[in-house]
Amino acid sequence: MTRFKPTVLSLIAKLDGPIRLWVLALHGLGWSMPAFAFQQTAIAASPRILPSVPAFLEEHCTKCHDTDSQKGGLDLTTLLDAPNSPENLHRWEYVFDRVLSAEMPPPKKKQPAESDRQSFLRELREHLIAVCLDQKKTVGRVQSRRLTRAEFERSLQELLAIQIPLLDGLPEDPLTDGFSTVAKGQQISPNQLSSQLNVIDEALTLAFQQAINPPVHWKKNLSWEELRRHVNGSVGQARGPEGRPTQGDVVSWNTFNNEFYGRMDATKVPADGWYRIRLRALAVNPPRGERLSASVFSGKHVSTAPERRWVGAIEAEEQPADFEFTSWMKAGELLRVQVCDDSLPKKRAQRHPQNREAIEDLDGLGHAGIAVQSVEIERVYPEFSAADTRTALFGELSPPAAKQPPAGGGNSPQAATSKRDLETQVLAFANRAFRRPVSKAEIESFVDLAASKLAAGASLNTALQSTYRGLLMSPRFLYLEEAPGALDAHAVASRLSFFLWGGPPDASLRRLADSGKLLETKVLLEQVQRLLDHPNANRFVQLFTNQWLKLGEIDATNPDEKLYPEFDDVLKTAMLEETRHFFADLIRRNRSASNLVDSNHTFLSHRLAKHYGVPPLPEPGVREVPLRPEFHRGGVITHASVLKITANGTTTSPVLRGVWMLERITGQRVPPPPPGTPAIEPDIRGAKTIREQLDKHRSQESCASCHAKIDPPGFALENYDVIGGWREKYRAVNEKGVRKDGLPVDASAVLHDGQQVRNLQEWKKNLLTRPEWIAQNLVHHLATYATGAAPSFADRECIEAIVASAKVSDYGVRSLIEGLVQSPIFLHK
Amino acid sequence: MATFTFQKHIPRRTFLQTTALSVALPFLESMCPALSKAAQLGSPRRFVGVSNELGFYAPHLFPEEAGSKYELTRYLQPLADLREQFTVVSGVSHPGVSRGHVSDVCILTATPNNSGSYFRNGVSLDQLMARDLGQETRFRSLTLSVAADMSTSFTPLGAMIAPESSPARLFARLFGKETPQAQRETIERLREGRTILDVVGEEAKSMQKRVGAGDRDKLDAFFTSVRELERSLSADEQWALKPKPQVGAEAPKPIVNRADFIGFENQMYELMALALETDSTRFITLHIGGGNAKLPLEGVEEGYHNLSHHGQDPTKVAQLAVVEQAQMSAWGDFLRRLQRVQEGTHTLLEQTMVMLTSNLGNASSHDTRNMPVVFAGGGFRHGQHLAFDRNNNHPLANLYVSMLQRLGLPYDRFATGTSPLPGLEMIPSA
Repeated sequence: MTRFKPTVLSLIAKLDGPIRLWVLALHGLGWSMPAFAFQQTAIAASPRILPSVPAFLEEHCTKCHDTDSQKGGLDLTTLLDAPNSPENLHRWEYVFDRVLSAEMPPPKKKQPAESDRQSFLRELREHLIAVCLDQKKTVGRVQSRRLTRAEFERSLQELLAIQIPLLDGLPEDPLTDGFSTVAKGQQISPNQLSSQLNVIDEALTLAFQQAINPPVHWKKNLSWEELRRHVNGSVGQARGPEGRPTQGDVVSWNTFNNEFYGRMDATKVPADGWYRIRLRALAVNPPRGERLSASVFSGKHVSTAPERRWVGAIEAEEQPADFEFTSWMKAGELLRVQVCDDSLPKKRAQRHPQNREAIEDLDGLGHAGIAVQSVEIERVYPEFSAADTRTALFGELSPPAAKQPPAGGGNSPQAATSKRDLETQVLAFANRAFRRPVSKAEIESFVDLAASKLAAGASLNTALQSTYRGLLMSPRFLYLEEAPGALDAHAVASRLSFFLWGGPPDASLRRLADSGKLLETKVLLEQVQRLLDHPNANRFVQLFTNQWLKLGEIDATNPDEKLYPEFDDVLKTAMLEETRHFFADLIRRNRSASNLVDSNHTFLSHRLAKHYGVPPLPEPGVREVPLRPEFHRGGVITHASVLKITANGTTTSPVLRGVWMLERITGQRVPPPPPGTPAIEPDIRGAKTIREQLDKHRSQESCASCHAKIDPPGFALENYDVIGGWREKYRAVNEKGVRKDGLPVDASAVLHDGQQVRNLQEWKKNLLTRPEWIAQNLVHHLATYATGAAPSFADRECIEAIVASAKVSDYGVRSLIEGLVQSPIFLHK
Repeated sequence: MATFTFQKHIPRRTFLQTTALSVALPFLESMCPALSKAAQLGSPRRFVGVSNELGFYAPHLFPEEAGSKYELTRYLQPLADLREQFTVVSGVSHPGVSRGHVSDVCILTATPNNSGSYFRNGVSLDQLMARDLGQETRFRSLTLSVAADMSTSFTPLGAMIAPESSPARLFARLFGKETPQAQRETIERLREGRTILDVVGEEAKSMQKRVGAGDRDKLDAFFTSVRELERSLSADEQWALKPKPQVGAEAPKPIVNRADFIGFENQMYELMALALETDSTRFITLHIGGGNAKLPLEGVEEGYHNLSHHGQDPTKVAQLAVVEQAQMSAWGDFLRRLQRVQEGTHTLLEQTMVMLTSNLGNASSHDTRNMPVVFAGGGFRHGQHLAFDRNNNHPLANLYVSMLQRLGLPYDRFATGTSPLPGLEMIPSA
C-alpha cells in the first residue's frame, strides 16, 4: 500500500483542471473514483485495489519478484505502481492464475493460509473485473480496428465487382495475440496509406475498363498434337521425341532429366484473368495399386522467370479422366503438368542404346509418367460479370460507351449528368463502402470532387473514379466504426460479416441492419446459419485457421532434403486441405470441439493417405476417412500440417510444439521465457535426443515451473517427424551427411500434476477429461479474431457460459460460434 | 532532465510530452538553413544499415584480441585491405530484446520486445535520421530487402515500412525516365491524391467524435499519416518536375535463380552506391532474409535456414561458412565501391556510416545476445576490435547515439542507448 498512494497522486497530478480537483476531492474522502469522470486519461486511476492484495503480494511474492531479483522476469512492483493500467492486466491474470492453481508461491516456500489465499483471489478478481468493466463502459474493450489486408482486398472486390487479386500490393499485417484483426497491434503509416492508394487505383482502373469494355471471350481446345513442343516448326527437336502417337497423348515422365517436362506452350493465356482449365489425363505405369499424383502449375516456366502459381493436384489412374480447375493466370503464363510424388523412386533417363539422338524407352522400362490427352482452357468471370461491375460503378447513370474518344473534350455526352443523379450514385456507393447509411451532407465534399471534374470537362468515368478514390481512402472504409456500449445494428452486421465471410456485409445483412431487425436474437441466429452455410464461409475457415493454427506459416521452412526427400507440393497442399476440411466439417455438422484433440475421422486425399500409411482410398479427391488405431492419427494435433509448422524442417522441438499446443489448443497460457534465456542447441548428429538436452534445461527451478506444462504435450508428439510422418526412430545423418536411423523415440511424459503418460494416446485421454477447456480456448480465439481484441479477465465468465450452454451439443463448434455471436463479447464494443 | 525506461509502458501522449521536454527535438525548420549549407558544400553525411536474419557464426567473426592489433578472423579476411576503415564490435546487444527470429524488427529500433504480450515497436535509427534530415533528397530514405518481406525501418509510430526487394524496380524508381505524358499523369495523380487526403483527413476528425475516446489514438495516427503522406506527395510533385539523375549504369539484369541471394545483394549494393553518389537519398536500410533457399555457391548443398540450425554438425557449419563469407565479401565490395568515389576532400565511404549486423548472435539456438557488428566509414577512427563483455553485453544502441551525433543531431540517447559508444572516436570535421 505504501507504494501505491504516491502513485495515485502522481497520476492525479497528470489530469487536467476541473477533473483533477474533483478526483482529488473524492480521493480525499476515500471514495473509489467514478469511472464516468474520465474519458481516457484516467482509466488508470479508477477502481481502487483493496489493501489485502498488495499486502499478500508483499508477504508471499515480492521477495523474489521485485525490481532487483525479477525472478522469471517478473517484477510485481511495476504492477503495484499502476494496478489499473490496461497494459498490466495480462500480468495480473498470470498472477491470479498461478495463485489459483497453487503453483505460486512455489511448494518449497512458506504457503499462505488458505483463508488469506481465498480472500486475495476474491479481491484481486473483483478488482480486475472492475477495471475491465470500467474500461468497457467508457471506451470499450476493443479499439476500432481496421480492415486487414485480406479484408481490404475482399471489400474492394465486392464493392467494385471485380475479382483481381490485390494482396501483393498491401503490406503484411502484424499478428497480435495471434491475429491480424487485433486493433492494438494494427499500425497505420504514410507508407501503409500510400500502398492502399496504389492498390485502390489499380482496382479502380481495372473495374472501369471492365465495366466499359465488353468481356473478352477466349477459349482453346487443344489436342495432344497441339500440346507437343514445337521448335522451329518441327516436332520435339529440343528435348527429344515426345508424345505417344499410338496412344494420342503427351507424357511428362518422372525422371530427373525430363525430355518433355510438362510445359505446354499452347496453353499460354493472352491476358490477366481467371481461366477454367479442363485436362484429360491418365497415369502411365502408376505405382502398383495406386493413383499417380501430379501437380499443375501456371507460370512462364523458363529459367529466367521461375515464378509459378499453384493450380491444383491431379490423381491420375490408368483410365483417362477429366480434371477441372479454375485459376488466376497472368498474361503470358502457361500450364505445366508434372508427376509430383517424391516418395516414388526417381531415376535418370538414359540415351537410347541404339539411337543416341533419342531417349530410352521410358514407357517400356516402367517409368511413371502423367499423360495428357487434351486441354480445354477458357477465360471465365466466375464471381462477377461485366454487368455487375457496371452496376456497381454506375448504378442508374448511363456508362460511357466503349471506345469513346479520349476524355477531356468539353462537349462530351456525360456533361449532361445532373448533379442530383451524380449525388444519388455517390451516395449509394458510399453506403456500401462505409457499411452504414450515410447522409448527403456527409458526402458533399466527395460529390463536389466529381462535380468539379465534370465541370472541368472530364468524362463521367474520370469524375467517378476520383470520387471513389476518395471514398475508398476514407477512414470510414478502412476502420470498423464502433461506439462504446452495445453496438448498433450496422456495426453488428459488419462484425458478423467480416467474422464469417472475411468481407463486408451483403445486401441482405445491410437491409436487416437498416431495419434494426438484426439485433433480434432470432434474426441474428438465422443470419449466422445463412453465412456459415454459404461458400463465402470458406474464407473464414482459411483466414481463421491460417492464424489460429498458424497454417499460414506452412512455407516458413522447407524440410531438409536429405532427411525428408519424400516431401513435395502435392503433399503440402493435401496437408492444408486436411485441416481446413476438418475444421469446416466441425462447423457444418456441429461436431464437438474435442475433435481437435482426438477424432475417429479425418479428411485425406491420395497423397496424404499414403504419407499416413492409410491404404489407398477408393475415390479420388479429398474424402472423409474413418481412422483406425494403427494409423496413429486423430484430431487436429496429429495433422501433418500443424506438425510441420511446429518443427523447423530439420528437427522437432517439444518446446515449440508444447507452446503451440498450450496456446492454440488447451488454453493454458505461459509467459514468454525470461530475458536472456539460452535456447537449446539442436543436435542432429544422433548422439543425444532432444529429451536428454531438455532434461538439463528443466532441472533448473526457474525453468521448471513453465516447462512442466510446456514439455509434456511436446514430448507426446515426438512420434511425429518434421513433416508429420509417424516415426519410432529419429532420422539422423552420419559423418558423410548420409541419412541413417537415429535413436529411438520416447514419447512418454510426466504431467504437471505428476501423472505419468506413456504416449500421445494417454496424454489425449487425460486432456479429454476436461473437454470444456478445449471449447473455452476455441471460443477465446474465435472471439479474438471476430472482435479485434482478446477477451478480458471479465469475459472469462461469459466464455464459460457460452461453453456451458453448448454442452448439450457436446461442445459443437457451430453451437460455440452461435453462443459467441449472441454474447456481450461480440455485441458490445 | 526526466529519465524514463522503456521497460514500463508509458502512454504515447505522455511519452511524446516527456520526449519533447527532455531531448529538445530538432525541428525541421531550424535545421534547414544549416543543412542547405552542408549540401552546398557537397559532402553530406549518410547512413547505411545492413542486416541479415540469420547472423554470422561467431567463432568465424570475432577476433580473439581486443584493440588494434587483432588477428583477422575468417570472415574478416575478405576485408583485410579495408582494415583501417572499419571497427568490429563484440559483446553488444539490445537489452530487453529476445524472442529469436521475431526480434528482427528491433535491429534498428532497439525497442525491448519481451516485457509483455503486447509489443509496440519504436522508430528505427534510419527513420529518425530521415525525419530530421531527409527532406534534402528525392527519397527521404530507402528501405530495401533481399529475400525478405520485412524491413528494419519503422516509422515514429512503430509501423514497418514495406521494403523494396526488386533491384529492377528500385532502378526504375531511382533513375527510370518518364515520358512527358507519363510525367504529367504522375503529377496529376499526386495532385488529386492531395485533394483527396485533405477531405479524408477531415473525415477522420469527425469520425473521432463518433467512436469515442478509446479510439482517439488510432484516428490520430491515421490523421497524422494522412498529413505526412500529403506532405510527401507534395514533395514528390516537386521532385517529379525535376529530372532524375543520369547514371551510366544500365538497369540490373533479372536474376534467374531466386536463391542467388549474393547476386541480389550485389545488385542492391550497386544501386545503393549509385543512390548515395547521386545524392538521391542519404539513409538506406537493407535487410537480408533467412529463407531456406539453397544458395548457388560451391560447397553448399542445403538450404540457408536449415544450415543456420547446424546443431554443431561440422558439415553444416562448413557450408554455412561459405554462405556467410560470401555475404561478408559482398559487403566488403560495397565499402570499396564507396571508397572509390571522391567527394571533395573525402571519399564517399568517409561520409557514409555503414553498419553490418543481425538480430541473432547465434542463429542455431536463436540467441539474441552478442550480436555481430561490423561498423565502417562515416568519419570515425577505425582499425580496431571494440570488445565488450560477452557475458554481460553493452547496449548496441550506444553506437546509434554515436551515429546520430555524427550527423550533428543533438540526441544524447536513443531507445536503450544512453551515451555514445565508449572507445569509438569521431574524426573532427575539417
